[in-house]
Amino acid sequence: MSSTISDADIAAVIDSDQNRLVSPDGSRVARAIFSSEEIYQRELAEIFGKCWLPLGHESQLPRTGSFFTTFMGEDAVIVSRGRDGQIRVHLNACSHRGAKVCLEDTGTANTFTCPYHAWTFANDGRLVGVTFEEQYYKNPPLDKGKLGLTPVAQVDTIHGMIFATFDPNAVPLREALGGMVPFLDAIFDRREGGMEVVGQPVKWRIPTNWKIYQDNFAGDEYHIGFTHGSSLEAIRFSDEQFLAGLVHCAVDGGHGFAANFDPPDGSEPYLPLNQPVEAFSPETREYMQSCLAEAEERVSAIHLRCQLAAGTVFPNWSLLPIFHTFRVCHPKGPNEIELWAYTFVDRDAPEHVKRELAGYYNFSFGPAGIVEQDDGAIWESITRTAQGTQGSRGFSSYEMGAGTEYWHEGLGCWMTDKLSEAAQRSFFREWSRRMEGGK
Amino acid sequence: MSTEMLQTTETGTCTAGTPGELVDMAAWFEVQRFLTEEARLLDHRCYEEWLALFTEDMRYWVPARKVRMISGKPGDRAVDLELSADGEPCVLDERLPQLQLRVFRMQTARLLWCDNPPGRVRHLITNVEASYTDKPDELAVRSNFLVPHARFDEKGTQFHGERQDILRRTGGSFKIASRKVVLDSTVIWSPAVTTFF
Ligand code: FES
Ligand SMILES: [Fe+2]
Repeated sequence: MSSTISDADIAAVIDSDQNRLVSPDGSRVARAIFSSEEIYQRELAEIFGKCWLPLGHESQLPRTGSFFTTFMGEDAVIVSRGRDGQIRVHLNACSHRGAKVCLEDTGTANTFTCPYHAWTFANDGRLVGVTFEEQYYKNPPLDKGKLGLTPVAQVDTIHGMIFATFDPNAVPLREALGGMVPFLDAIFDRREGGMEVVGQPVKWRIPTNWKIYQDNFAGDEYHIGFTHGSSLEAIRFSDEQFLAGLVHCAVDGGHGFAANFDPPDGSEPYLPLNQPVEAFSPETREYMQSCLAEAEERVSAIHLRCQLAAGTVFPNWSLLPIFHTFRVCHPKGPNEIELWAYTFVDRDAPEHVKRELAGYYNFSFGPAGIVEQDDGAIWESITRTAQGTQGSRGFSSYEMGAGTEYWHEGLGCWMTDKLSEAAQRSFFREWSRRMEGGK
Repeated sequence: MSTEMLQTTETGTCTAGTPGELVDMAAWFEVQRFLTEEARLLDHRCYEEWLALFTEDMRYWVPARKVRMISGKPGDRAVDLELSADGEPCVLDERLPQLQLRVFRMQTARLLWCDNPPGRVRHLITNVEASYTDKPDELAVRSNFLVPHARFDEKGTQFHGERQDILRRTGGSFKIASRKVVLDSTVIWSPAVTTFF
């Protein structure tokens, strides 16, 4: 891999207002950050090593002993529900020599036995069995209490969504999500029973840098009519009409999204979750309508009417609630990502509604979705550009609507009234702040 | 591409027999020929003709797969236990209208960024086994596939797995009434699945 970035360039993030990797307003971003190995290593430490990262949902851990495995940055972790019902997160690495102790995607287990020398760990992380301990670990004895699986620093949930961080000093989850919380309420907390994840995530690889994906999800509605032109033609979707109804929101902390905003002045009825309702059966439409009153009671009226179309929660959680999916983007080196797409539905919805809503996603999104198919190769080409000696010296433009963001008091976020790159600027500003050590 | 190639004679071989039993040589030959020609339609990007090989009530299903440990219990090695259940998130689960839209979309070449310039693909279909079902006009057919896919100047990727088809005798030819595609990978190592299996 070619990489022309030097330590001096990285230092420029910190030291100089000229030639910064990200300009102060986030509107100009050095292409080098989309391919540099040095930058990537620093991201693993400063971003994936310190931020709250999304791991999955409580509904994936239905009983005590339930577990699933995932990644935090490039570190494999086990997320498990102990006998006490508590959810814990540990590195999926044996304390003896580091072999993986859990080899499956999901399941139920009271203990994990390492395949190398068969040390056994309880699903709360304690080392409970050492092979031949009596014979060979008498003198000197082994302090098993110190040899449990390595726990992450903090675990917390919001609306059942499980997050963890490696940073003991990270601010609490709700504080890190900050202004995103009421928007998350409006997606995941509309009903008493909340939501549940259906089945397992669908996973695929794209040879691109993780930030290119996240910046797209944060607020790149600009590309839709062109990149996805063939799909829009096939489903007779009017891009211009869609764009005309959009606002962009930038939430402090690097989060951002596009939304359909109908302020609650009573003049406009609004659709539940911005669904293209004609796609659904009458029963499902009726279900969606019938849930509105409950949502009105539970969620702030203005946030309910600022319906997130697509968005990024810093650093690697993306939301596409219209299609009942959220994604986690796992970095796999500076030039590769693995996407995990989850499907979610209201837990208390009737079974046939759940099935219809869950099934709606596949045709358009996922690795074979007629919309999403188009993105991957383009994102890959951006990474390739950034690998070139000259290409890596270039800059990417995020200037659309720069400076037109205004603070919306009711929503508690920055906003542009029309299509802009405000959300992406917010994402890169936070990236820059984090890379400078969080100042 | 002549559709006659896909026809079998009216007096063609019988699709009826003891359910579960392998078909006779003549029927196997017909199935083999049908699958080979289907593969060529995909390799040569003849999507409209390919679509015509499906019945009205067809289903094309590609479940997702997960990594799972097995126990010593009988039946616990079954591949199906690694696959997403019916109705769970999967790679594709389509009926004819969706497949038609996909193929219709492929005609809008100007904006087809996922496959223009088009990927280059080979459907290598092997290990064909056909057996009778309890329906006199339907055969259950399994085949293995290896599908190398290359695009641009890249070395590309390979998809492989098993297809479980129901082929229905209609007139002198077969149509695909259902296809379940069992992929061998739990992660799709490709930015997009733009071919069919
Ligand atoms: S590495 Fe796990 S027991 Fe030795
Ligand atoms: Fe896109």
